[in-house]
Amino acid sequence: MKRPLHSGNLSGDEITKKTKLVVVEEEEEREESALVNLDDDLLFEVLKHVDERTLATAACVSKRWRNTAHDERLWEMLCTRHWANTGCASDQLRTVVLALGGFRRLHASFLWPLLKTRTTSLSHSLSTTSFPPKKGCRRWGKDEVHLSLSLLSIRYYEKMDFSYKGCTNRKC
Amino acid sequence: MSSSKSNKIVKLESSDNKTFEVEEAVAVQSETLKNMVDDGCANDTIPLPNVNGKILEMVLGWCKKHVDETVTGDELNKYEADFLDLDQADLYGLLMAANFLNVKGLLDRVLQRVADMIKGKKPEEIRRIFNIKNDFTPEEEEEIRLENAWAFD
Repeated sequence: MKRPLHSGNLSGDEITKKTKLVVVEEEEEREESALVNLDDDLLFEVLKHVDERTLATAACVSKRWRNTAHDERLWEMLCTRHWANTGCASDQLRTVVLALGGFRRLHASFLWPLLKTRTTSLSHSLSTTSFPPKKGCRRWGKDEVHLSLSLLSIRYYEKMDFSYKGCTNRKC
Repeated sequence: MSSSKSNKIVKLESSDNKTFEVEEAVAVQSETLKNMVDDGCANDTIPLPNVNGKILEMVLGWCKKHVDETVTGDELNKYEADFLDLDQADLYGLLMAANFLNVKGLLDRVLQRVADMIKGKKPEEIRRIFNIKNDFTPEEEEEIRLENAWAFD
């Protein structure tokens, strides 16, 4: 049953405790219905503004959120945020990364661990100063990007079915 | 006196039948309305069935502020910060409206605000905020959590 949100006849003076209760109830009703209106497109737009951890957490909320949070475009944005100069066109990079498993995998396997280590070591060395260590404060250049792509391609290669058993001895 | 191209007034009607009249320069902050004006569809009252009066008034207030040349940069920043100090229901109403009306600056701000609401939260907390049902099976949930375990460290 939908009640009008705020009846235009009530002025500030006339809001009594009883009416306040009604308003609160109505707002709760409204809140409940308003909150589920976040459609996929809007959710995508919201997720464009979050950081990596939040995006990964968002994937755990529900199936719909997982499908949106796993959108490669979002992870591409997050990955390329850390890259100053990749030395190739972004279209090229996209094609290569998507072929090798995608930006989300690239980030989870190679970017995040490295960025995390860097921040930890930075915070240790800078603990005596008041300088706030920014996450991944040194942006990656061409070499680091290419290295991470090489690692991604090696991982992809190893997963290919050649009866390739060399991995057990070698450090992967 | 600003010598604008036209002192045309645009009339808007909210979902709860409230009418608002604004100058064209204010209205065209909304890309949606701008397109209508450009296409010559803005001569009569434009009905906005998915925006209620309260929210529409807020949006138009925003647009007016951004067209006002007497407002300083600092004043505008403060205005924008205070503007988004809303309860969740209004925030969502504003999000829908800014999206539908395509008021770019406002939409970005609101999106960022909503994004900030979920930052650093656990999945259960996010579900509570957005009233979302967890539709994963226990196995699926385990799988997705493992996959994203690095985010929970």
